Parts: sequence; structure tokens; C-alpha cells
Amino acid sequence: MKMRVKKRWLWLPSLAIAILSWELIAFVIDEPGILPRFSMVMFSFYELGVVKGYIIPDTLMSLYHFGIGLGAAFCVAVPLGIAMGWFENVFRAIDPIIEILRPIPPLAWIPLAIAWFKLSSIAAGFIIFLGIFFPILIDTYTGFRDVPKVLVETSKVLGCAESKKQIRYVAFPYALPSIATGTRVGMGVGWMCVVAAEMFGVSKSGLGYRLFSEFNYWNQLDYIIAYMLLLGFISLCLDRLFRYIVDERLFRWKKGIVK
Amino acid sequence: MNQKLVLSCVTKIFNSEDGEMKSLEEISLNINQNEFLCIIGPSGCGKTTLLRLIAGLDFPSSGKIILDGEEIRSPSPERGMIFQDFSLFPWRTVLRNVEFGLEILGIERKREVAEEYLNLVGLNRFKNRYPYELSGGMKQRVAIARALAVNPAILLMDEPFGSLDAQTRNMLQDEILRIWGKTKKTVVFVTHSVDEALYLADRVVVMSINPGRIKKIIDVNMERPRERTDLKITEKRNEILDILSVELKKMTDR
Ligand SMILES: Nc1ncnc2c1ncn2[C@@H]1O[C@H](COP(=O)(O)OP(=O)(O)O)[C@@H](O)[C@H]1O
Ligand SMILES: [Mg+2]
Repeated sequence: MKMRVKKRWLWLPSLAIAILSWELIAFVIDEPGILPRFSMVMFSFYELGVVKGYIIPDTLMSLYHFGIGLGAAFCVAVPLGIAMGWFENVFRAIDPIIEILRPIPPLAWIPLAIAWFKLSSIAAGFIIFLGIFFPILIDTYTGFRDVPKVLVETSKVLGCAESKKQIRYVAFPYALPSIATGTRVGMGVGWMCVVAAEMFGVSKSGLGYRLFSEFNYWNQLDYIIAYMLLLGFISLCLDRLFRYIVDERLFRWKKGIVK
Repeated sequence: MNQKLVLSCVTKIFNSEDGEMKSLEEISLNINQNEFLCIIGPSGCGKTTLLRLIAGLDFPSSGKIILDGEEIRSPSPERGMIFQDFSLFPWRTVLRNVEFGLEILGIERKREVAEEYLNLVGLNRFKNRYPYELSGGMKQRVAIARALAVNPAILLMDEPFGSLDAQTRNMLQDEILRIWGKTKKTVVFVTHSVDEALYLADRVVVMSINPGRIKKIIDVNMERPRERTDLKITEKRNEILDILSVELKKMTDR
């Protein structure tokens, strides 16, 4: 028991050491244009959040863009992934297209996004959508393709005559953990696209917009680092929230397979 | 006795990349109502294929399989199948596995019925466990309960106890006989164990090596419960083993 408590808090000392070394190195260098001190960055949080009142509206705006991307990606990728995973012919027909589009960095789509959606939140959402879409799609169809044949045949013998029932009662529950993993990975990738999606000025707020368009990098490095940390922290929170909602108890049965 | 299931001249050919593969050749067989029929044969002789044809999961290349006067065209809950490898739905608890077929059929009292069959196989205590928490024998019992719950007329079992240890195996053999006696199903039971076949069956179908043909049908015709070391059983065992060893010799001579 004592051991477990210790293990759980193991990140604390390493974090403390990282912060202390940062503070110390910055103090020695004494050049905020290269590396501002940790304490300065913490003070910027206060300035940005309380004095200027940027942090909350920026975060909300970024979450709004992220929500558009996530919602759209989930609604398109899951049904498409199911169709690709279940019907061999759909997979054959669509997979080459997917494989050509997939390696294109979301950033490269920015001009098209602007051309199609103008400088709107939809344009930003579209870039984020591209980041989230492929991980969900691939994990969905992989989950479906991996469904053991014997389970599908068992369901047939027990009365699941049509594809629809076999998908609903066998393939979908089997693939659900895989879909969840894809969504989680996709959310991580999508959040990384937020800065890029906002840097071309789709809105007058947003974490990415502020980071790129308002702070300048010769004398506001402390602001910039504060926002970088904020980006990381929010992503961490999103991941925790996802894991809290998609309760691991739901996938308890997986233990037998993955261990 | 009336004929429940009639196989006439059933041949199955698979088309694979390296040409045609004849799995079954002209199998003709009548299976009676309430009969316990065992099928035994060298591995690869088409026993699984035969059961899959009866289940309706696959179709004969030629010949007919007729159940109660009608040709089999698709799988149906009236023909329950227990697969060789454990085929429980891993995301469902024991109880919900047994409920599966009842749920699909839209039966209202599914919980009650499922519990009844779990009691029959003696697993009610474990109803809330997940499959990964069960031993091999328990898993197979759940599979049996699940197949029985939808009340099939025929139970197809593909080496169901093949991967279990000897003690569990013997116990489950008694259990399946008890259930069979109680529910009066027609059972087609595939096994690679001669002892198992002779302990369970009314008749034993002995198959040849690939392509699978029927070598001989042996009437066991003995009261149950049987003594595993009974003289008559020993006699029949030797007869079957002789046929099988001739078949296996053909295989090594090839
Ligand atoms: N889907 C299939 N495609 C091609 N060949 C198959 C298929 N299923 C079975 N076979 C072949 O048919 C033969 C009989 O297989 P099977 O019925 O599984 O034998 P058994 O259950 O008696 O061991 C084997 O040689 C196997 O390779
Ligand atoms: Mg087999």
C-alpha cells in the first residue's frame, strides 16, 4: 500500500527538478529573449489571465474550433470505418484514396480551407477535422476487420441473419475499444492542429491566434511559453476527461485479450 | 424412429488458390430424431466442414441436406452449434452470453430462461463473470447453455471437449448425456477420441482420410450410463481403431 502511494506521486519530484533546473539555467543565462525564467512565465499567466483577460476567451474559442473538428470527424469516420471494415469491396474501393490523402499534413490544407470556408471557424474546424479523422477511421475499420469469424458465425447460428444485426450485436461491441483508442489518438493529433488552424486569422481570439498573431517573439517569449504550457495542459485535461467519460470499466472484458 | 436429418450424396469442394480441394465426398447419412450421433475421423477429413454444412454456414457443392423434409439454406437457431474453439462473446458476461439468442429472437423472459439453462449446466454462480475469468470447461458449458437456450431441435458439436483435460472432459461427457436425456435433442457430435464416441453415441460414423467419405457406421446399442472399460466397448474400440489406423497408414504412404 505504501509502495503504491509512492509510485503514484513519482512524477512530483521529477517535475520539481525540471522546474528548478529551468529556473536556475534561465537565471544563469540571464537573457529573457532566449529563455525567460519559470517564475516570469508564471507571472505571465497572471498578466494574461487576470489583467488582460485573454486566457479564458482564447481557450473557449480554441475548444470551439476543436469541437467542430472532433464532432465532424467522429460523425464521418465512424460510419465510413464501419462500412470499410465490414464490406471488403468498400474497403478495396476506398482504401487507396484514404492512403493518398492520409500522409498530407493538415497544414498543407490551409489554403484550400480558406478557399472553401473563407476565414471562418469552419475553416479552422476543417484543419482540426483532418487531424482527427484518419486515426478514428483507421482504428474503426481495423477493429471491424479483426472481428473473429467464429463470433460472427455464432451470432448467425443464434439468429442474426442480416448484416445489420451482426454489426450491431457482434462487430460493433467488439470494435468499440478500438474506436475509442482511435478517438483518443485522434484528439491528440487534432489538438496539435489547433495552433495551425488559428494562425491564419479565422477569429480574433483563440490560443493559436494569440500565440502567432499577437505575441512577438523577440520580447514576449514568456507569454509564448505560457501559452505553450497552456496548450499542453488543456490537451492533458481533454485526455483525462475522455478517459473519465469512456470509463475503463466498459472495456474490462478486454483484459482477457490484451492483459 | 423417424428420420430427422437426411444427407444425400453431399460433396463439398473448396476453390482455393492452389486449385480445388475436395473436402467431403458423397456423404449419405440418415440421422434419427433424438439420436446421439458421433462422427470420428482423422484430422482434416472434413468433420468440421460437415457440421458447417448442416448448420447452414456453408453449402454443399452437390447433394442435399434435408431437415424435416426441407432443404437447409441458411443458419437457423433451430440448429445450435458449439464451435471447436471457445466462441463466447468476450464483452458479455456469462448471463448475457446465454441471453444472446433470446435477445435476438425478442423473447421477453430472456433472463429467466437464461438462468434456467445456466442452472442446467451448473454455472449460475458465475453468471456475472466475463469469459476471460472462466476456465476452458466453464466456457464450453456456457457455450452449451447458450446454444440450448434458444431450444434448437439439433445440436451440432465440433470437438467441444477437445482442448480440455481428461477429468473435465469426463465430467462434461456425463453432463451432456444428462442434458441430452432431459431435453431430447438430436445431437451430432464430432470428436477425435474413440473412447468419447463410444461412451456417448448411439451410432459412430467413422470417416476416411481426405477427401472425407464414410468408412463405416457402427451401432453402439448399449444402455447408459456405460462402463468405459466394458468388454463390448473394447471390442468396438478395436474395430474403430483398426479402420482408423488403415486410414492413417494411407496418409503416411502418400
Ligand atoms: N474455407 C475453406 N477453404 C478451403 N479449404 C478448406 C476450408 N475449410 C476447410 N478446408 C479444407 O477441407 C479439409 C477438411 O477440413 P475440416 O473440415 O476442418 O477437417 P476436420 O474438422 O475433420 O479436421 C481440410 O483439408 C481443409 O484444409
Ligand atoms: Mg475440425
